[in-house]
Amino acid sequence: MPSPADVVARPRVNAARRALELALRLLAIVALAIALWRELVPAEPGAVTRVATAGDSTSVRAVLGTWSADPDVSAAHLSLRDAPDAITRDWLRALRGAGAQVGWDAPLPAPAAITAEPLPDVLPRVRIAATTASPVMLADGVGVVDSLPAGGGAVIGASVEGVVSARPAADSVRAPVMATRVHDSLLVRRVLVLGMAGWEARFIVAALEEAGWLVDARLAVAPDVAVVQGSVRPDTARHAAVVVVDSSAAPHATAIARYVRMGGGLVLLPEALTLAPFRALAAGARGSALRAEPGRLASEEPRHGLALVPVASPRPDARVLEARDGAVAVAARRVGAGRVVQVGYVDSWRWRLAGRDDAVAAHRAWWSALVSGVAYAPARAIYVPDPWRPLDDAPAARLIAALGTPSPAPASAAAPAVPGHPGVRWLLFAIAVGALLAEWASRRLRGAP
Amino acid sequence: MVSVQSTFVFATAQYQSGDWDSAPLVPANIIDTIAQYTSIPVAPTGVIVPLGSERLLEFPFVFLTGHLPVRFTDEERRMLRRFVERGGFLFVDDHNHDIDGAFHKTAVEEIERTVGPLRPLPNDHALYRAFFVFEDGPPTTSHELNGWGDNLVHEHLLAVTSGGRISVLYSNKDYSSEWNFHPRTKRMLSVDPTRFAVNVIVHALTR
Repeated sequence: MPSPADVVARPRVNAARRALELALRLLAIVALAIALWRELVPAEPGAVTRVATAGDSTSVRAVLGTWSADPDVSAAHLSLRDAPDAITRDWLRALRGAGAQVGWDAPLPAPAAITAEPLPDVLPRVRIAATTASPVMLADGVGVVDSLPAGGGAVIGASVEGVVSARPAADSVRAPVMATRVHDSLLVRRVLVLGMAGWEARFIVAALEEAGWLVDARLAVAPDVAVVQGSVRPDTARHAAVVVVDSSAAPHATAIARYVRMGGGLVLLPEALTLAPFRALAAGARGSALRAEPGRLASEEPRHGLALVPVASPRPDARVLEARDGAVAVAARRVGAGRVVQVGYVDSWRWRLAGRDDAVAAHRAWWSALVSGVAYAPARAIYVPDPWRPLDDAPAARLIAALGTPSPAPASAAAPAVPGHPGVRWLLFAIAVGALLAEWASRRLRGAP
Repeated sequence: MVSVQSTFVFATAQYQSGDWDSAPLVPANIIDTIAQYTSIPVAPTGVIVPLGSERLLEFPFVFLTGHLPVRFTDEERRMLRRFVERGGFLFVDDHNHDIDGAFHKTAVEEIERTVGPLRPLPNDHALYRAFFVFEDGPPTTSHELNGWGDNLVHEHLLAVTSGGRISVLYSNKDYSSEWNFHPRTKRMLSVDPTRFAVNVIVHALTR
């Protein structure tokens, strides 16, 4: 039997416990209400700002992983060392698309870009142009293929398929700073040489054949007599370019003009301009002949040792490719779908015979480049490796295009704001659950339902 | 409009040993033949070019002949090697129809030592169809017997080729004797013996 004191005290205890249970229940309701409010009411813009400094793309992605999982982030700012790669850049753009204000700053490297295209040449050659502030090493899937000086470009004399990437020459362990995709996809056809039997035509044919071009030729020997090699009817289906040495090509002049307008390439030597149809195609008029400079064939500027018939009065659409002492030596223009280059040098074979030790190779390369510059070379479909792989051919420009110009880091948001901490949600949940458990246990221990 | 087209110049090699000038009428005769049969611009007179001089590289076609033993100097060998490597065409004719083939033995030795091995040129080579057609290969001459000291008429010319092109054409036919006459004499002949020279020069200018 309970004592009289117990009878008096128990109702007081029960009243206190019921008050505590009520308080715990209210606490749980308040915690749940706050959590619900936090979920339903969007945070004010700029209320939760993240700021991070990241060096390379890997560390940037680690930061982005954290930010992307935090719905409270309404503004983010990255201090970068370099322009991030394409994936990281797209990630930042997606973050911005999700509503966050994304800013960035970086000691941005000088604008850099790389592009590559196959040359219409018999040898697999790729022209690579890049704008860089410092020398870069070029590599493909196999290894290093070449280097580029600061702000320079190069022609790589090799078959390069796949991705060509560039990394700073001074830092071989650093990740590539830019990359582009390149493949040899041109169909290169034969060259047709038309002229009198003579040393110039003979050595042009020799140089082109040594360079790897397949050559058709018609070299006139006498009226109605010619040494013919292959087909001499200009045709874009067979010929990449036609080289006209002199006026002996007169019977083909009309066909050549039509061939050029359909896309064919044409190289005109000075004597070819004695014919009106070729004058109509040429980059300019035929100037007065300039003498060869004695002793220059074996110099560093061997073409100064050749006589020159300059390209006079270049047409407005002509582009000067080479000049000598103010006189235009080589000029080119487009005619219809084709290209025409007018060469002013006379007897270039003299350079090959009397030049320096490298004269044969240099003469060959020069002629091959002339033909290559105008050659008609339709593209052909080939296998392209990793077509889905995003590449960075102009990283800084693409970063600015994606995120805008750089902005200073917000000083007030140097440290993460507490209200934005993702742990608050779990703290509120724990409070609510703990309060309800305590309230339930208290009721059960005092025998209440 | 003034033409700037260069002309073909017939160059005769002058070398220090032997008798390089043993057929002095050949150049004029060949020049006459070229002008007569073709429209190739040709210089009216030939030139004599020392084999050991840089001037050799101004004339991609060079004719070399003689009777006597040939020994090139080091400079002549060096220049001849450069000449051939750069695409020059050397036409060598054995002017010899005396005993023991002195020119042949020494000239072949020098050429092979300097440029490379001489091989028989097939008689269906493009050379024999470059202008006139010579179905049986190189035309024979009335002088060629015993040119090598072996009492045989040789059916082939010899050549050093490089990249499919003739660098050195070597003849034992004694065309130097056959062509060593004044051009005006041709009108007395039923068949012009210099026609083969047209083939040699046209081939050199086109292949």
